[in-house]
Amino acid sequence: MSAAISPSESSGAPVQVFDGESATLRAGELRVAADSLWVTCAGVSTRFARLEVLGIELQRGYARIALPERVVLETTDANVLRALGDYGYVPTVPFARSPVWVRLLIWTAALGLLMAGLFTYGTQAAVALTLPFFPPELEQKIGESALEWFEQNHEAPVTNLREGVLRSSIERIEALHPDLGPVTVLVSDLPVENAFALPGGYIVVFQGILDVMQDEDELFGLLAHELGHIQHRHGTKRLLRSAWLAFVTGVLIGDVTAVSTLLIDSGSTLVTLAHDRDEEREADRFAAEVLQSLGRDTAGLARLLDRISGDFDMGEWAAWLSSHPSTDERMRNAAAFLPGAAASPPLLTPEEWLSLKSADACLCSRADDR
Amino acid sequence: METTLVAPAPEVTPETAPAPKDYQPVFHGTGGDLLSIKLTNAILMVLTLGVYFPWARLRNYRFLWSNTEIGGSRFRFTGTAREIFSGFVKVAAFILLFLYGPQLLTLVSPVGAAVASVILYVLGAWLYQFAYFASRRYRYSRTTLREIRFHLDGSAKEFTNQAFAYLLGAAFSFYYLLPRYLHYRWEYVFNNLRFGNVRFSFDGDRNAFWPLGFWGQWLTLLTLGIYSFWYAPRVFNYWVGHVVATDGEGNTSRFSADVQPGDFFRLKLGNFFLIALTLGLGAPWAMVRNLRFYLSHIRLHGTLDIDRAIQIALQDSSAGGDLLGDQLDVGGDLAI
Repeated sequence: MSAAISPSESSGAPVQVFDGESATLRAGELRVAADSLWVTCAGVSTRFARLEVLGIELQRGYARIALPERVVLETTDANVLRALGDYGYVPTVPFARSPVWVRLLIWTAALGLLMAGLFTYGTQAAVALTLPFFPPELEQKIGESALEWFEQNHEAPVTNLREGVLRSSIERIEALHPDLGPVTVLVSDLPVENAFALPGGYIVVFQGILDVMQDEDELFGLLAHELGHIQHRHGTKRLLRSAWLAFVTGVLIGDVTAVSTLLIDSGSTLVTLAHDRDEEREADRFAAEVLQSLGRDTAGLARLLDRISGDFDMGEWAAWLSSHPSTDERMRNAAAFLPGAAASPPLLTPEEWLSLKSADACLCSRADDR
Repeated sequence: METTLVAPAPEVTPETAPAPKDYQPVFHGTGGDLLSIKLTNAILMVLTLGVYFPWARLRNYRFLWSNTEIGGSRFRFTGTAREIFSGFVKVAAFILLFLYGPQLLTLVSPVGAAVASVILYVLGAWLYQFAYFASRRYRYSRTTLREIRFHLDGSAKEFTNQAFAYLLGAAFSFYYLLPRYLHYRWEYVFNNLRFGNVRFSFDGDRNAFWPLGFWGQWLTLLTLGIYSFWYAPRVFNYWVGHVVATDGEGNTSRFSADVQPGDFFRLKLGNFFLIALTLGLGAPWAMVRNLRFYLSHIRLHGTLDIDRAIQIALQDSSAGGDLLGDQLDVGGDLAI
């Protein structure tokens, strides 16, 4: 401590001085200089070098300064608060001196942009990083769990096909892509014009879509499309994407339990959550490649989709909002991607085609076990 | 630097014995400042994938504490981010086991998961009591006023076991023992709370509280929450009104609260619209309104003079209980 010296940098301001031993209020005076603080209390003036200041807590209209020997100063004086900032005792917080509404606007916009960026690109990067570490056994379990959820919630059993037209059709495609891994094809009797793929190599085809098919190109297009989802692990990616989104949201709201819930409820998540448009395009491309390799019309899938979408086709502009590309786009892609599809010998015999169209015939070749 | 800066406190003599004093707590924070903190915390939490969490929590605590004033001075939260982080590590294993264990077990064995859920549910109820006490112990130990520390004495084990027993009793007696449980928790905490050499005590009568607690819970339930607009203010006034503070010289002051159901209803209604109409963005303003409302209804009156409180040696405590309490949602941001 030096003798009483009058610093010139700032004028004195009232502070409360506490010694850490008693709660007695002691009035003091504080002067802020670039290299030191001057505290005067009970007629004694003390200089604290800048390095001796242990910490400063700043709130709106209030500052608390911790000094050695448990001495603490508290002040609400505006001049002191300003001087602490001006002389760099407290870090300059961005926009700290802006009006509250300006700060709120800036932080809200920053958070919004950050979240949008994370949702758009961050989750994709996170999925790409984590996908290689996702064990195939777990994918298998998740696929089974999704199937169980589907059967329970729709009260419609799915049947594993160990032989028959669908099985042999799948095997023809598998022969073109030996890296696909084991694929299980199942049929549901529901009159739904749809099919879906699940992690673990599961494909579920509804009788409804088999009924509306008009040729084998449509059948192979559909099966290859679903195999495309399996080849590119779209189901697992969807799940991981949802988990990352849940994690980021959980971090924000302080509750990350949604991540585990989502993984546990993966069955419903997978069946109810649609693929995004890019994944559909990827699966379409895979289907077109398969059809071309088989020497068939690459637009088979698009024709089938055009028929089942009927009046519900949304058109180009509304497709932007949808999880699927428009049928027109899919037709164009199929034609443009691999033009000049050649005619080749039929893939199915007339008897096989008829058996596919007949639910009873199809059922004959089903096995109960999965 | 020498330590002659602060002159010794004036000696207390019978002639200078304090006259009755009246203290009224005040909250200075604003919803805008709190939202600003929450937004920047959110940005940093997302950018660091949650690693910023201890610092975010610290900012929240400091805002709440440093904006609460009594006797012309503000509270101070002295905890550190490092403590909060080490506390988080301590309870992380439990959180993972408790929250995710049974769910992940369902993938392997649904029956095992059901059994584990029941066990963890009971264990969770026990840990809830522990967390209730430990979180308060930590927050009080890191709270100072005029650099004099608060401290929660008592045994965490004793509190946890007794409170758990009352809770079990309440669960199996259709709320009959619930007032005892609630009373015990409040009583134990305030009978063990200190501020330097000032001791707090709770002189409520559990038998007198029983009708209020028992019928209040049932009527709240039966009226789908409507009765809570009468019940909550009465309980608050009861809790606060039976807390007494006494210093080493025998000077005593009593807290009092006068929350009226109509005011309480207006507060809650306002908060509801504030949150609903802003899609949640108004939550910080609702929180600030709550704090201002409750604090503005509390008084401390008597011969106790905060000026005369002195520091005494105190035991330390960790942040683990605070984080566990947070995960189990034991509540009490300002530990009241």
